[in-house]
Amino acid sequence: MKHKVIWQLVVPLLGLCVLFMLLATEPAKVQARQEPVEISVILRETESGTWSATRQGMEQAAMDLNVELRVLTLSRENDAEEQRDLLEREVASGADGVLLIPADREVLSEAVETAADAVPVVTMETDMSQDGASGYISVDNDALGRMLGDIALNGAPEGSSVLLLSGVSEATGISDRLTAAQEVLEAAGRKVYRCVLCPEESLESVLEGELAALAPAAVVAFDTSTLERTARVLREKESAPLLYGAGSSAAIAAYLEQGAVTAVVARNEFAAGYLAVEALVEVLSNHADVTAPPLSFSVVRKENMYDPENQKLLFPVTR
Amino acid sequence: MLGPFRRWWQEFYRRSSIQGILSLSFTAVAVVGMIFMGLALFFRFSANTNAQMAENSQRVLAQVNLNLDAYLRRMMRLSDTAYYSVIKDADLAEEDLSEALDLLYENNRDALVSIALFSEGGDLIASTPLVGLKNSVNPEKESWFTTAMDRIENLHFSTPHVQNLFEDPDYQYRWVVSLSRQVEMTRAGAIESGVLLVDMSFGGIEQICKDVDLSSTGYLYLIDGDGEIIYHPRQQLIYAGLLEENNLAAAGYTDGSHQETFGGTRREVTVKTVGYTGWKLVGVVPSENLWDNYGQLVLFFLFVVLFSVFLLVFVNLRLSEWITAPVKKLDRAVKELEHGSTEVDFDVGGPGEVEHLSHSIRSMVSTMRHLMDDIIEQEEQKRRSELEVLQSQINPHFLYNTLDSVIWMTENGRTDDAVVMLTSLARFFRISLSRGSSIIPIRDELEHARHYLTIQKMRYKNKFSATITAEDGVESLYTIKLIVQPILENAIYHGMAYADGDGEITVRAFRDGGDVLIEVSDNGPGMPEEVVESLLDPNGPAAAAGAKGSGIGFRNVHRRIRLTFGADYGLTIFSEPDDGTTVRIRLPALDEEAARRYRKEGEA
Repeated sequence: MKHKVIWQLVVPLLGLCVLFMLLATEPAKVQARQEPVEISVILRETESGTWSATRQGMEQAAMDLNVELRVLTLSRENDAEEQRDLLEREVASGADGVLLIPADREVLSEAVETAADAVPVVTMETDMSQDGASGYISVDNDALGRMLGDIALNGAPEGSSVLLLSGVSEATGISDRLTAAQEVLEAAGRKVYRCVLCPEESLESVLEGELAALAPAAVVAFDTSTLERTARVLREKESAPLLYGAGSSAAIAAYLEQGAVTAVVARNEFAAGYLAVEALVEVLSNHADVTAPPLSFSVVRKENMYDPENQKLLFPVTR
Repeated sequence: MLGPFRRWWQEFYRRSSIQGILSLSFTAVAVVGMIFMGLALFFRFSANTNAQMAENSQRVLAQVNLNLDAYLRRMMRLSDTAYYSVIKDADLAEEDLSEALDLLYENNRDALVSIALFSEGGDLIASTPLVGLKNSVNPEKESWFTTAMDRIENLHFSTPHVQNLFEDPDYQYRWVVSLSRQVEMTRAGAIESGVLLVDMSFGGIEQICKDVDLSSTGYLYLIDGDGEIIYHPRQQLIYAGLLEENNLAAAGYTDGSHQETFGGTRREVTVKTVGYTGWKLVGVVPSENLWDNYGQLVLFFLFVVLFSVFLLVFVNLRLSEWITAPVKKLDRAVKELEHGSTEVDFDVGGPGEVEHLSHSIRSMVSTMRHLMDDIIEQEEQKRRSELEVLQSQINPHFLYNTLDSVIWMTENGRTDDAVVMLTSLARFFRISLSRGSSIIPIRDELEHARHYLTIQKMRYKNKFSATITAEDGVESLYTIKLIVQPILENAIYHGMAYADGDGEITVRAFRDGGDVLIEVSDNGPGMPEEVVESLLDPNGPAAAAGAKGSGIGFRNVHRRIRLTFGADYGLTIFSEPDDGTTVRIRLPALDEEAARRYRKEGEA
């Protein structure tokens, strides 16, 4: 009797349940799109113009990886304290991860350590993995600095002086580049003057003073913004020193073409932005730190800037 | 390999009911059929879907090709207009072409970056909208210039590149596709050669190619005849080295659909060549994407199969129950029959075969019952025959003994005694006959014994005395006849033959519950135990024919009682050497009514 009840009552009931599931659920809806990951990007500049290619890379990655990006700029360039406040605010407001281009490793150290306890933090340009950051996307700053030192040797005869310029704090990856270049230049018998600007200082006025005081044969700028602004100053001068630098933007390409900049060491900014977001998403997915290989870079001069490969490097296919 | 399965199946088959096997078989066959049909339909549907998707890709590509072709023809017409309407008719020595070119540019500025005319030496003759050529530029060395000069009859489309000809105060570097052609110009009446350059905005091509719906993860890209990418939705990723595309292989594909594996992914690739330029539109749909759709279909298919299986199990159970109900009913009837039921209903209904089977079993059971009745009848007849044979053994035996005594008396002149003996013998035989009845009252049986004792006492010259007593009411009960006399005969021959006047025989009849006991005791020499045991043993040694008290009497009585009343009844012998013998006859207490029944059974 019990057997009969099972077969004649339970079986049809199960069948009806299946029918209900069949009618109630639509298979197409099974693969519902997941909620996007919210990532905050904290730049170290007041506007993202010099980072436009990087930002495009980030946006492409955001589109591919279902990420919602919030790009934050500072009210004053390279203000590490403002970055610290922004970092704390973003973590408190529930960002899933933070992408940071640090303005000062030392100022931000504690804030990054605290933030990294709550959400993954990936840095660009300056390595803060010692402070708890989960990843670091950059060129090899030391190698890039040495490369800049090498190319600057051509523009500064032995015994001449070379001015090394950085608009970012000493405690950054930019400063590492500067140190490496300094070593190369000093080893080759050049007088090296190192000028690292404070956020409060105006590059233009400092540069004017340094040029007058040092009369350098070459000036080397180690970040995009400083290079752009230095080129703008130097192209107005009658007998300006040769300018070398790191970074790429439309303005730098124009200065390169005009001869205001002799050579640049450029990385693929688009790739840097894309890989940074990708690394952060990977950390969020795998709950493990990411060790990314350093980005490649190459030397671009006026003569080869329109080579197909350099076109792709300097001029993103922007829409 | 198949051995264990076969054994398992045989064991399962043996243990299962017909209904279970039918349900299982029906369901298995139906499910297999359903899956087979489903898979056939599924693969057919998949093939159709693939074909449709390929067709859809081709249709989409054809549309994009149409738009792109229209766009390129528009550019070519623009170039033609600039050449035939503006340049060819003008004398450069007298006219400035800038205004006319401006007009053309303004009319097509959505698709253009610049229009420029260069002399054979690469000098800028006219341009719009920008007019200042960069100092660093050498147009005559650019590929668009040299190609145009090399093949003067054609219009040439370049691959995308950054436009670097003119000074731009905004430092704008635009990606363009250059359309160049060799032109002939008039300068002061002389014909000279030059190059007309129309730089098309890359965005124009992008607008045509992007947002093309080739399924959720499908996309379209554009390459030139050498496989160089002109447009790709992820062009910058490819330029940055973060993504690879199979564009070089695609350059070798003919128009139509192709299967390829690239980067570990199987892809459906559709190619369409753009007219005139030799460019190729390539539509890519990853196969995983197709299977995403199939996945949903498979899920739905599984749902349907699962539900159908449930339904089939239910229907098949009911169906098999209905089919096997008559067989099960028949099985129950046979089981009832096995348990001894006599009123079994074999009318189970059902299909012809089962009904035939039930009729056959009913007929068989009926035949079996008749046969059994016959066997019982035959057994009864056999028993009666045996009884009669045993009965017939008594009379000659006794007659022999009595006549032996009469002869002995007559020989000795004891006529009176002989008369008495013969009188007793006559009474004895009258009771023996009892009008042919084998069941007689105990009274008659005791009377019969008394006459026998009378005869024997005379013969043995009163060597023993005999007493016959019966409990009240016992004499009116019934017994089979001639059971006491053979016991007395043995008691006399073995116990009294050598007595010297002190022999004593006691016959006592009394009730014992539902039975009647008749005990015949003597004070003779008794018997050892092995003799006692052999007396009632049907296979015991028979004495020589004619020997007195050979034991035939005992066995005869014992077997007759058992044949008539069953194994619970019969003789029991209690004897010890030198201590006499008691033979106890146990019988059922039969009143007249019961005796009549026995009489009928035995004498019907």
